[in-house]
Amino acid sequence: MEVLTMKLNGEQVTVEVKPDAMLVDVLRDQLELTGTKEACGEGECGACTVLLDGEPVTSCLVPALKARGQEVMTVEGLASGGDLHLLQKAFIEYGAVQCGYCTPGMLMSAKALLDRNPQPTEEEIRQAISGNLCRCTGYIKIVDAIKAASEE
Amino acid sequence: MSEEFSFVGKRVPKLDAPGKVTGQLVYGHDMKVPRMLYGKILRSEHAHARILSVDTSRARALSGVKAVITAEDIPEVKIGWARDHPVLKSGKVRSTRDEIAAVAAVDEDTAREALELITVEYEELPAVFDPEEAMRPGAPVIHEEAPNNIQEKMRQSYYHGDVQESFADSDVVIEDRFKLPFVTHCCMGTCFCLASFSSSGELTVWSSTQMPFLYQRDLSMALGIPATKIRVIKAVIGGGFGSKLDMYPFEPICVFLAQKAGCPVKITFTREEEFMASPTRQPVICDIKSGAKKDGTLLAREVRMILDNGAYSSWGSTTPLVMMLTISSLYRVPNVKYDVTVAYTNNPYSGAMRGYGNPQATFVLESHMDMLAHELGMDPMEFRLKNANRPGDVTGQGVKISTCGLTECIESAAQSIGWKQKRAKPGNRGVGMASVFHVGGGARIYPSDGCGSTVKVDDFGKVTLITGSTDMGQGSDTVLAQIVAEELGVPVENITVVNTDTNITPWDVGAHASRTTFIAGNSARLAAADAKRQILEAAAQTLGDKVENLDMKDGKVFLKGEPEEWVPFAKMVRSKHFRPDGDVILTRGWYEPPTEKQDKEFRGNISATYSFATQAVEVEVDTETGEVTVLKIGAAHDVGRAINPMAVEGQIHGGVSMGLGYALYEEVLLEEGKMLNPNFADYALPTALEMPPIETILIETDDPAGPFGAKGMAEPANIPTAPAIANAVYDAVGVRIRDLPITPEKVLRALREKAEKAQEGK
Amino acid sequence: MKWKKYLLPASIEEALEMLAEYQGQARVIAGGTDLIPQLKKRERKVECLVDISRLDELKGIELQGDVIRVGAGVTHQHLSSSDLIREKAAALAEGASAVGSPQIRYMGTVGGNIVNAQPAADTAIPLTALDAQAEIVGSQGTRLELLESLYVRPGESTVNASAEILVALRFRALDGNEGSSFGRLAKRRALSLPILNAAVVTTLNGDGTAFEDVRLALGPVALTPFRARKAEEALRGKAVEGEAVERALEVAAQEAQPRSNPLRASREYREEMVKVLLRRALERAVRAAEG
Repeated sequence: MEVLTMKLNGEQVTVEVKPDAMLVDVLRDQLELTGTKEACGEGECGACTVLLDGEPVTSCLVPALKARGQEVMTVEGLASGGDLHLLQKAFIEYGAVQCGYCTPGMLMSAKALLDRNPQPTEEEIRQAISGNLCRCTGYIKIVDAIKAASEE
Repeated sequence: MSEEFSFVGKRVPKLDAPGKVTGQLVYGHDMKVPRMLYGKILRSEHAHARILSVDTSRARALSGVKAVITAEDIPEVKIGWARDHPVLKSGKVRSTRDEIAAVAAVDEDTAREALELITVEYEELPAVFDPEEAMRPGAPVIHEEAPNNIQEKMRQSYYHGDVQESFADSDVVIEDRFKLPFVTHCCMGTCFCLASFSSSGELTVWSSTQMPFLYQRDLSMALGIPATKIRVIKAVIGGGFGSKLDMYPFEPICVFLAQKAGCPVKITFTREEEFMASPTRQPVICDIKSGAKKDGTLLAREVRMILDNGAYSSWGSTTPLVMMLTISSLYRVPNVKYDVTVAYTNNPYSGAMRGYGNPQATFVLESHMDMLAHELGMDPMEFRLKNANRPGDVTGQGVKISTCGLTECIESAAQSIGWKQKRAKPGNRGVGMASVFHVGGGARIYPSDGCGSTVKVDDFGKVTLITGSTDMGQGSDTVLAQIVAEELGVPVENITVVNTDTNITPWDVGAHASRTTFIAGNSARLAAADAKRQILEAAAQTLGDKVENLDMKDGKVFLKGEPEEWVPFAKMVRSKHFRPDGDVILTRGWYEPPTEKQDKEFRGNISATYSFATQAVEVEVDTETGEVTVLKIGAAHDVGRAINPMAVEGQIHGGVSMGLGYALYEEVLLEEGKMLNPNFADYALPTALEMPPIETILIETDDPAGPFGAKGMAEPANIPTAPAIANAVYDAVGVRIRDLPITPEKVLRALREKAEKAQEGK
Repeated sequence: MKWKKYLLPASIEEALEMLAEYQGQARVIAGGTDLIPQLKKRERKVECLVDISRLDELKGIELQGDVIRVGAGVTHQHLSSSDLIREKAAALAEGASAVGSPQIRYMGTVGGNIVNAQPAADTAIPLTALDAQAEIVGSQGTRLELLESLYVRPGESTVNASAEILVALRFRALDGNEGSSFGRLAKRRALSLPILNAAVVTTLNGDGTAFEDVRLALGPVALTPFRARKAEEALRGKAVEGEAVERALEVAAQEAQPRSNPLRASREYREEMVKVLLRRALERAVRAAEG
């Protein structure tokens, strides 16, 4: 076992992990942050997207030890205090959520976008979530929600 | 129109959305219970082979393995709609997904390792992968019980009128063959099952099922455990789309493992397993002949279909019945003949998928409608309008159409994409349309098509709706809450919905046939109406007024005409509770639609109302690469009434994207029964970059049988998209693609053939 | 257990020492977007992974004289958004922006894209057209190799990832009379491997009417990224549009040897598309050169 220390959702966390553990498994199974979903295990659907040092990554492809000393943000870290993030509010209000399995990954990709580009065009929004598959919504209300959040 | 309502017609956010955007909501995939083991399944390496031996000794010896089972360890029971599917296979395997053995271990890695230690000796058998070949004499036999490889229970012939005579009367008759591929649901959350026995012997199964009560029955049969000892709880799931209609072998396997290990066991499919082992939409080979008069009157339709059943029969084997409805009743057509054969092959078996046969039937019919219009020299829109179903029609199959917005759907969808200006214009852009006919008020495929509801109002004014129906993520709980809020006259915030726990919730046949809003909505409305009556009666006694003078809205009880003077409804609930002969508010609603089962000739009105929709699309075809880009989609849907327009739009958008995938991108590729693309890189779902803008047009026909006028609408959204696109490709560049998906390569080949023909013509 | 040790060296030297210590049983990992799936599916076996993705010395994009040096650890995201690359090697920026998905572009690196040795990697094709060279550091020091020479067959590179590290790629920055472009056909606009991709670098004559020089790269039409040299020859000195271009495209379609792949496209379609994709890329590159 190896010691992994990272900043997770703003807090310093230390956890013992197997050397070949993937970040998604450490988050879900060891740290019980089950908000992050795994839907393909091959980096082809985006459901497990988290932010690693502010950048969107598919945590099913990230060896957990890659995060050593880095900052990781999951969907559980989006809301601050009791307040939902603007993106979360918009996803609720605009009907961007159906089965919800892709939602955490979508939110993290959207957050990565807005952090860099607070006023994206629709095309930029679509590009930013093009690595996140959704089977329920046809993406349209997700795009609407991200646009609305960016205009707040 | 919706101004008269407080909650119906409002864009109420989904009740479960906050839990989903924060990651707090626990899905079945996230669940762990104490002492829980992880189950894994060993599947066949061959599409058709005799199993000579299975050696599990090394797996059993592996540290951390708590149970290993093969067919020898379980009762010999066959499951599935036609009872032709052994849970664990012995004797022989019939497809590459076949379950041979299963293990339960302390963690997933150990379970996976144990699988690798199991050795199976096979003797390969000749296999057959094409349904037409499977039906030829001398083809390898897949089930001894079906020596001709035909699923006899679904060999059907239907007719009304006389097609032969009417083809003779037709001015134009055309005949074509179409082929539809394997595609699959791709729920983002894969299938799972968690089985646990209590010390008193009650089995609890947390499942991804969308049919909990039939599932309870199926489990009981497969396990040999009385249904009275089985509790089914649908955990939060990541999408259904029909994939969770059947009980699959992995579910009884999970229970057998739990039984053997004496610990709870959970099985979660990997993505690869989900692709290979959760059934697909059935491929279809379809021959169709259509005839019409010069004036555009549709006269006759003759359809012969061959379905690839795969190796086993699921609910999906009954999709020909839904295809039949469309073939007999989409547009007025006085003469119809339809024959269908379902053939066994050594492919993975097919199942139920959104639309349930209707996407295939509609692709064929609506492509052919277009081709007929061109033969007639008519605008395909005018041709459709001329033959559109109308309110009050009774079709040849005995389908009673009550409300019908098909004409409005066709006209408004066409208008939204500029049909008149854009049709039949030079260049490489084109427009196309297709419509859909589907059940919208349940579908009587089972002795009961009903749903039960209970409404409980507590002393604080919290209202709990306990519904038999199942929310897979589509948002039916929210819609039901709106219906209860409206009927009862309390704010939607006061309402909690409890669904899908067979120990608690009343019976329902399940989430299929786009029936939940209609059936469960009517049921919930009945329970809510009774609760309101009881509250108003209590109020009448307490306030000393006549009950007919009182009303309740937004949680306030008041005298009709004097809404300013009001008392909180919870106070009236308490006034009923806390008195000598007091009682609590606990009401029930049972709704059974006024429909009939089909007779032996398949005639009968199986749904209380029917849904219609038209989608019109504009495409651009790159004539050098063959690539098709969809520029815009206008989707006009007769939804009866949109209880929640935001949710309805969401269903339409999602349906269109699934239809877009069916049209252009998706196909399960099989080679000798093995899937070549069981992953999201090679099985291409549309991404956000593929989705065109969609204009949704909600046609509200206010159905008298529906809750507040609503009818089912969710499946239809994915049905007309593919034929509309195929028709638009034809309008753009003059080539007719008869098999999906419409790949660039097919388009380019067709363009070349067209050019060659033109050359020959000169 | 997929691997037993995961190491995070602080410098290239330390990384080399770690690799040496494992005597061929360790392997370099950068973004891991190709390697991790291979390890998960047990297509490769390693004892130890040496993660070089944090080494700043691998992350620079610099103009050194008329040469652009791109660190092997530069991500696709960085490449596609670099002003220098967009101006002086547009095809590479376009190729990088076509890789997989945003997440893959943030994780995956140009070095990884090369060492993974796929014949149609979206940065390898433009780098081939740019005639790039690779800087490789091993225990024997640094060697400079033509990018093209690093490819053996799909998945196999001459860069020994168990002993040495690809540290940078170098190519000449394009001048005013030069232009480049990248084109790609795929099933969909994201999350797709290419059916075919092509990169073109053109140098025009003084009045911009003829090709002084052209480099054409294509994938996957061979076991390695492919330079359509016969077609290049056919274009040299010829007018930027007209008969000669059409003839050269035919030559390219002849010399390219794509295969049928049921997951993507048939050989015939790919051969046909070689012409379409190259023609379009040429037109864009010429426009860029005329700039």
